[in-house]
Amino acid sequence: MVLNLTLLTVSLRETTRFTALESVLSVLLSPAQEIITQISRLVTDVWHGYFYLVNLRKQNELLQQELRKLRAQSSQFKEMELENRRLKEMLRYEQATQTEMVIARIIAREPSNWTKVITINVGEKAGAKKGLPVVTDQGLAGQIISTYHQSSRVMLITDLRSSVDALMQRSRGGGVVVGEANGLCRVKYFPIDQEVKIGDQLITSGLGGVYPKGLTIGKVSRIQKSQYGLFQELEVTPAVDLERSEEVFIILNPEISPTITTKKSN
Amino acid sequence: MKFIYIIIMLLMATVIQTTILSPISFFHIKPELFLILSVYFGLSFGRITGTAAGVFTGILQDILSGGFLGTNSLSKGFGSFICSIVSDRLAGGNVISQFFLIFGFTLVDGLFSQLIGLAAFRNNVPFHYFIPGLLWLGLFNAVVGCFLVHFLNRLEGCLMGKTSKDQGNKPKRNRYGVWA
Repeated sequence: MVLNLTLLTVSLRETTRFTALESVLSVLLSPAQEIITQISRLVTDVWHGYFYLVNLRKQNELLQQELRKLRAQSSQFKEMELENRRLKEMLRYEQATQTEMVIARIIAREPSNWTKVITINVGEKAGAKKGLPVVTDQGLAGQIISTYHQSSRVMLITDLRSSVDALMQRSRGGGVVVGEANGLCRVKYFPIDQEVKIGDQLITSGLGGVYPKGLTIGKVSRIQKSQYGLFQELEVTPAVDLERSEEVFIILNPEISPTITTKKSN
Repeated sequence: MKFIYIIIMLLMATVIQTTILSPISFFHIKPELFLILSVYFGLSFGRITGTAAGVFTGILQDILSGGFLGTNSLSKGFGSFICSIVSDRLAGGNVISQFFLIFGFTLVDGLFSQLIGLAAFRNNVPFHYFIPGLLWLGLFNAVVGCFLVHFLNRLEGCLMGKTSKDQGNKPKRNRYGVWA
């Protein structure tokens, strides 16, 4: 107790007397202190770097899974939105015409490159019959060639076996539109003296009683005139994108032309 | 067992060809699984069974196309028959001969379809599209067909190995690539 009191009194009076002792202690202790501090820092880093990261990785994986699930859901909603838009357009077309129609979905496509036949999910049960025309809101797609209880097969206008009697909308010249199996059609027997331009629209003439009059077939994309002969050959791009269509209409009463009714403005 | 295997293969080919393969086309051309299967049947099942399977494949394709029955059955049956002869006489099991068989068969089948179109419907695919289209189709079928035939051979090998009564003697291919 006496020694402590003495040391205390001396250090309060003369602060510089013990500086040398502090220096010696500092020199002896600081390397060890530094080493121990570095070791403890390393242990802390490992702890945070490894165990924490493992936890972080698990969180990351869970979040990625959640993101994938949400992306898939978003894609489904987008698809439903697009289908809704398509069906609304088709419904608007159906309501605007006076014809009786049944909507059908395309469930299978042609089994070879040289035939253009699709299968739809509407059959005899819903009123489909052989020979009925098949259209979309863009124009003529084809004709039913066989029906079953709940499905039917439709020959597209681009099939080699298809032929549609047609009229040029502008010049009223007539011809027969046949399929070419390459996604396009051709007009045969179009008189050589009839005026035609690229972009002219072709519609069904109504002759033969198969297709009602006025259905859009397509537009002229190429004209081939020979020096001799009575007819010119025209290449036609169909109005309906037959490769990408997903829904079609079957016209149940083809004897009535599908004229679009418009409301008179007062 | 062979009969069931052929039926299953044809059913799967029908579903895949008319649904999944439809969006996969380049310039309106897509591989023809029925044609490739006809070649496979001819190479793997011998003259009688292979040709019969080829005819049956063609009949199925005719029914699905809504065309005259007999158009595709004649060309597929004939193709299977030729492939079965080739597999007997040459090394029908290797990739190069399969490539040329499928390519050649595609050309013959396409020409046959064009002739039928001209004869029956007075209509044909325009030549400026038909000839390059047919060559590309031949190449497309040959490339896809080589992989498919190889896969089907393996599948057939696994099934035949498993169902073989004599476990000691597993079926092997002879030097012409035909199952002994």
